[in-house]
Amino acid sequence: MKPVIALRDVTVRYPSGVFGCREVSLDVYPGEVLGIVGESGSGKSTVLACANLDIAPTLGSVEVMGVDVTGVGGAERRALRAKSLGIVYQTPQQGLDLDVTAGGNVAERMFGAGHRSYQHVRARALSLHEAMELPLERFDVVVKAFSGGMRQRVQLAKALVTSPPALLLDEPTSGLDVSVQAKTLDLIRRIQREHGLATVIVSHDLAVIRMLADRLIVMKGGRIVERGLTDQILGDPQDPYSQLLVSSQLA
Amino acid sequence: MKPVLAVHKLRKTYTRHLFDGRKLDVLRNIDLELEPGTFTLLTGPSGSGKSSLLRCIYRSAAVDSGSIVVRVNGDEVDMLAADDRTVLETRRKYIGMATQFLSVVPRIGALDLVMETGLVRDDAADLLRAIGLSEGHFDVPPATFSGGERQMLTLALTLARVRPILLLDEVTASLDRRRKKTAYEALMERKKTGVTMLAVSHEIPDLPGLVDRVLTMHDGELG
Repeated sequence: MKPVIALRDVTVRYPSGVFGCREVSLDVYPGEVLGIVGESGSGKSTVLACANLDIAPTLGSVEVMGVDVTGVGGAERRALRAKSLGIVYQTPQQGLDLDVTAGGNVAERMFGAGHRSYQHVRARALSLHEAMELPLERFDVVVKAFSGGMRQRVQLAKALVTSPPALLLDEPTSGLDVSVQAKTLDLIRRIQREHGLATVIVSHDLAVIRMLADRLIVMKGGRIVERGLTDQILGDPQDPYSQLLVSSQLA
Repeated sequence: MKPVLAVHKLRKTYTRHLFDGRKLDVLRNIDLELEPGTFTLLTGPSGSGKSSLLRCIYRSAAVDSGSIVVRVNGDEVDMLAADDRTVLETRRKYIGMATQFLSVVPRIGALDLVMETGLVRDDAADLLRAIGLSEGHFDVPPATFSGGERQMLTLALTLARVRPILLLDEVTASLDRRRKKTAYEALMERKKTGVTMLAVSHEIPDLPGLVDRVLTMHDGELG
């Protein structure tokens, strides 16, 4: 079995000279959830951006479905994303056009993937809208009028409408209040299992990670300092920084 | 018969980097073999390393050296050499672990949690009843459960998944007398089907035929 996404010795150096991440390798297989934790600025989001092909690595390579796609851009990247990668960002405005309706946001991704039949696109977008437990009467309403939890559901609908094998989650619930967070996590967990999605989740909330992730990567200063099974790292961290992270959060 | 689980010269140290790198020897040279279909009870003072041993076998704790080999249906897995995905696969197929603490998704009701393991509704309800959880709790998420009720659910979730090896860490500690007996009977049922069990407990189950062997741990060593 091939990993859906693989990063091999990825280093990102921003034009400012700052390193986003250094020598990061990871892979995620169908049906499993890989968590990435670490403090702000540790490189978590850079790694996710590489996986989503937003950033091309300065060194190293990115593979999607076993194919080296390092540095692809333009139409090829758009097609690849639509076919293989769905992403949910922490803030909805990163992933959605808030002035466009929920249905319009979701449909846009389908048009981007090459679908042309309006009827088909609308029907498919509507079915995702329903699957994400969004109220039907909101389908033609602009996202600006949505609550935080509903906006994240629209992002999920958009991410999944083209049935990609991979789902990338960048702090998907951290802007939400506790009850909405729990509801959203339930939904993510359910769809991840139902569709056997290869999932990467970046979060600083270890409770979220504990609930979702099978395997875990701990990052600090752009590097991976520890990797392993989630329950092992959270229960018996080996690296000094992992120990600090776990003891800080569970104390 | 070949053991389903063989632990050899297992050593484990905790290094506390936040406390001057202080080291704690928790397991020293542990040798342990479990014959198929047997129930081994592990006792010993608090802090003697019982739970650490279970966690090392399950690989939810890291090991310094030694070996842990699982042998089921002609399949042999070296748990310390195996990569993370192989360990997860081995757990899914062969090893169940129940701890004192329930860790589940907060909003899902007890019955639905048991059904998530793959049981149909009637079987899940039968199992919860057999463990002793009252029916009024079936549709309630465990967040509001008492310690004993959580423990019943933990045990039910562990038994719902059919695994040839079960690691049980004080799974009956907060149950009342009657429910303890119910829990032991449920374990006995599994034993009859050939399940091999390693259980940490401070008390010896008073159900005839359940416990085959009692081992005592002292200060990281198995007596």
